[in-house]
This record gives sequence, structure tokens and C-alpha cells, in this order.
Amino acid sequence: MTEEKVHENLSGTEPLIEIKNLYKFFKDFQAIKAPGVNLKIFPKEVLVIIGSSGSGKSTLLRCMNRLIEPTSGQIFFEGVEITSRSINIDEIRRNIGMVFQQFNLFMHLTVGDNIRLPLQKVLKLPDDEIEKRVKQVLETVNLLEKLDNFPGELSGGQQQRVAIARVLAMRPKLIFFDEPTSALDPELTGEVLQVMKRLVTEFHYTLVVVTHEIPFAKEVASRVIFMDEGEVIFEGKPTVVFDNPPNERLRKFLSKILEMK
Amino acid sequence: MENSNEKIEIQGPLSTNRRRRALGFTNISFGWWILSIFVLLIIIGFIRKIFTPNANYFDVFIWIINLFLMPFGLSLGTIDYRAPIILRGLADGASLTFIISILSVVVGFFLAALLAIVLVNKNHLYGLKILAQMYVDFFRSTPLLVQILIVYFGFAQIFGNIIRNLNIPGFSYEVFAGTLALALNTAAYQAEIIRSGILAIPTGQTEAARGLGLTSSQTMRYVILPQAIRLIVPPLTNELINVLLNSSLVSAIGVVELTKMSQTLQAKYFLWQVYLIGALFYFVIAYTLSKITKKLEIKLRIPGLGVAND
Repeated sequence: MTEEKVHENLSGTEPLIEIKNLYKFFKDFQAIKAPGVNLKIFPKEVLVIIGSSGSGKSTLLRCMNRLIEPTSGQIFFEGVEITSRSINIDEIRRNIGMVFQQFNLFMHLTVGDNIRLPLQKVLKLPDDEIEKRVKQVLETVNLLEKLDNFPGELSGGQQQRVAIARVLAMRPKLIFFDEPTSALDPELTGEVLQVMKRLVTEFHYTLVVVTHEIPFAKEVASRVIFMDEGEVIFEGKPTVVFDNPPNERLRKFLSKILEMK
Repeated sequence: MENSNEKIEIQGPLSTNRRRRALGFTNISFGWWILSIFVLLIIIGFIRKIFTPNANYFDVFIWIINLFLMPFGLSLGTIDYRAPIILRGLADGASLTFIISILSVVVGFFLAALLAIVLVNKNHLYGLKILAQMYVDFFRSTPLLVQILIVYFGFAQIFGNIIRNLNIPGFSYEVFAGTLALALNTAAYQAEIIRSGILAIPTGQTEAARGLGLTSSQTMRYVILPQAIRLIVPPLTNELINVLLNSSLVSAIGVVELTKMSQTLQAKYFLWQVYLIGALFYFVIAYTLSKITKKLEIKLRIPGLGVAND
């Protein structure tokens, strides 16, 4: 593997998330194949996961904050093993933001209340601090005027930006994006990708992004992982992966995607 | 051009339609006016009941009929000597029917909420889930009349004397057993309704809430239930009306509610029309309840999760 080379400049720092032999077996198929995935995610890096559907990308992402319980393997968050039974996973999850393909905004709450709910119930912040954060994150995603609208009144792109804002308000240490633009019209993906780029360039967030947006991945990724049929096939810098793919299966996948476009 | 057109219309004499609309009497709102008046009268009936225990909730309607007949020098009694007695008796029965069904639906709802939360749980909860499932299966798969009889005779030894000793006027053991049986029955049906409402909320909502760090009970309370409530209002309305109509079965254990009262009066006067008036009472109550819940449905509506369509 090329892991050594990729991590040259990060070898001194402690990984934010470390996965050892993660393996997931659903009732009828292996989502992540044995012997499992090994992965390290370092602070301030943008890790992009690509691969065809059913290759276990989303499963891997969801296992990392235990929205799906892994069958076996260990996951460490800042050195703490979060797969052990004794850990309170809710305490860990407040540090890990997650943005979904289907936005998953709470339909019965206004945009403002969507952002306020976790701040009130999870972080238990005082009211003035909550209002400050709500304003701040909505400004970041350029949606301050939609504060009192319901999610049902917004476009898909706006909903996804609110979902990002909701995650940002929690001040997480890293954010997972699970195909954030796949459910959007092509003309609306731009606004979401722009917000994500800002997160990287201005705020230096650690991101893990599952996406099919190759140009976006090329631009912001610091490392790319290619998954196929439940295993990590290739891992490397975006320039290597996209411009000069050394792996046969990766080449096939990329040519298929570019054909579609 | 368009502006001047509008002005002419406004300055011109109001058409009948316009005048009606100005007063709020449109075709759509007409039903609401009738409904509001009806609800107001029931409220008056309730207040009167507090001060005069002998009164019933629908007395006011008999007054109104009399009021309309007064200009002609008539009253219900002079048209037909049986009319005031029949109406008064049926109104008494309707009051009891109304109270029994509302009480059993409310009690049943709380029981159903507990059952539903147990039923949607992924864990077995030390056999609690199987018990809840057995409860629901039993009450949905046996006739209501049989359930009423079981409750009536089954609890007679335990509760019979206690309730007789309480000595509350109008609250006999029969009424207690009938209400309890209806509540237990509707709880099973409502549990399934609430369960379906909870399951109808997309799993993405749970994922998002848990992903933000909310605990599973917080997710249920702040995210799932508020949305499920909006989905289950129409089927709950159905159940409410079902209970109201099914409450006629408690006449079998001697509760003198609307159906039993109709039977008694019919037997007294040999007048089949008594049943017709009884049916009218049922209709008015059921129709009112359905209209009120429709209003509730529209009140609870939110964009993107709407059920009501007007």
C-alpha cells in the first residue's frame, strides 16, 4: 500500500479516527469484507471516498459513528475506543457531524429550531449563546433570511445547506458527508459544494466525504480512497488517483463515471 | 384599466353573494358557523350541568326548538305530548354516550401510547413486548360485545362494591365497566395506529437525530412523536367515531345511554321514529367530532408533511 508515502507529512500527528479491521456483515451479504478495513483519519485532512454503489462506502461512514454497529473491529476516536460497550456513544457523536444524502432535516421544526434543538438538548447551552451560534452558522451558509421557514418550503440545495449549518453549530471535530449532492438537481449541487469548499479553505475542518463529484474531489481532497465490493482497493493523493490511476478496477470505475458526465 | 375595473365593482351595490361573503357566510365557512354554534351550545350545556346536576348537555337544543315554535303559539308539548319526554330522554342518553366515548378514547389513548412505544422497541424488554402484542391481538380478534360482558362480570367482585360505595350520582358500576371495556378495546386499535404513525417517519430522521448526539428517548420525544402525531390524526378520528358508535353495545349490560334509552322509549310509546331521532343524535355528535378533528388536522399541518388537503 502507498499509505507510508501519503502520510509522510502527517506522521508526527495523532490520528483523529483510527479504524482497525472493521468488518460488517449484514444478514445476507458482506457490506465490508473480512479481514476488514484499516484506516487513519488525521486532523485537517479532507478524505474523499469514491466507489460504485453497494461498495460499502456509506456503511463504512456510518460504522465510524456507530449509526450502524460494526460486526467486528475497533474504532478509536482521539485514542478512545468507541466500539467498546462501556462508552456513551452519544457523547462521542456530538463531536462528529454527519450530513446525509436525503438532508434529513426535522420537518416539523423551522430552520432555526432545527439548529437550536441539538444545542438545547445535547450541549445544553444558554439561550444567548444558542442565538449567537444560529446566526453565525446561517450566515456561513448564506441562509439567514430563511430562519423562520420550514424545511418543506426550501429547495433541495437550501435544505442541504441548512443541514450543514445544523452540524456546524455543534462545533464538531470532524464532519462526515454521505453523498451530499446525489439527491440534488445538477444546478443546485454548486451551492452545496461551494459551502463545503469554504469549510475547507476558511475554517480548516476535517472532512470525510463520500461523493461522485470528481472535479470537487480533485480540488479539495488531500487523500482519496477507492472502495469496491466491500474492500479498500486503492488509497492515494488525488493527483495520482484521478490523473494517473495505476489500478485496473479504479480505471474502469473512473471511465464509467466520466462517460456518464 | 384593471384598477378602474376593480373600483367600479367595489363602489357598486353589493350583490347578495358579496354581502354574504362580507359577513363571513361563504359556502365553505357556513359549515363552520353551524359547528361553532353547536359547540357553543354544548359548552353552555356543560356549564349549566355544573350548577344544576339534573340538567343534561343537550337541554339547550330543546329550548331552541321551543323558541322557534313560540311565535306560532306552539311548543313541543302542544304539538305532541310525547315529544318533550322523548327528546329529553334521548338527550339524557346522548350525554351519557358522549361522556363514555370521550372518556374511553382519552384513557385508551394513553394506554395505547405506552403499548405503541413498547411495540416499536427493538428489544424484547423482558417479555413486555410479547405481552403487549398478545394484548393487542386479543382485543382485536374478539368481539367487542364479548369483551364488554367479560369486563362487566369479571370485575364485578373487585370493583362492584367499591363503586357502589363511592355513591356518585350517575356513575354506576355498569357505566364504569362499559367505559373500561371500551377503553381497553380502543387502546388495542389506537396502539396499532400510533405504531404505524411512528414507523411511517423515515429512518433518516432517527439517524440525523442520533447523529447529532440526541439519546434514543430524546429522539422519540422531540423528533419522532411530534411528526407521528400529525400523521395519525385522521386514523384517530376514525377510531374516535368508531368508539362513539360502538358505545351502543354497552346497552347490553344495562347502561342507559342513547341506544338503551331509545329502546325504552320505543317500548313505552310504540313509536319506531324514536330510533330515527336517536340516530340523528349519533349523527350530530359524530359529524361534529369529525369536523373538529379536521380543523385540528389543518392547524397541525406543516409544509412538506401535510395530510389535510384544503
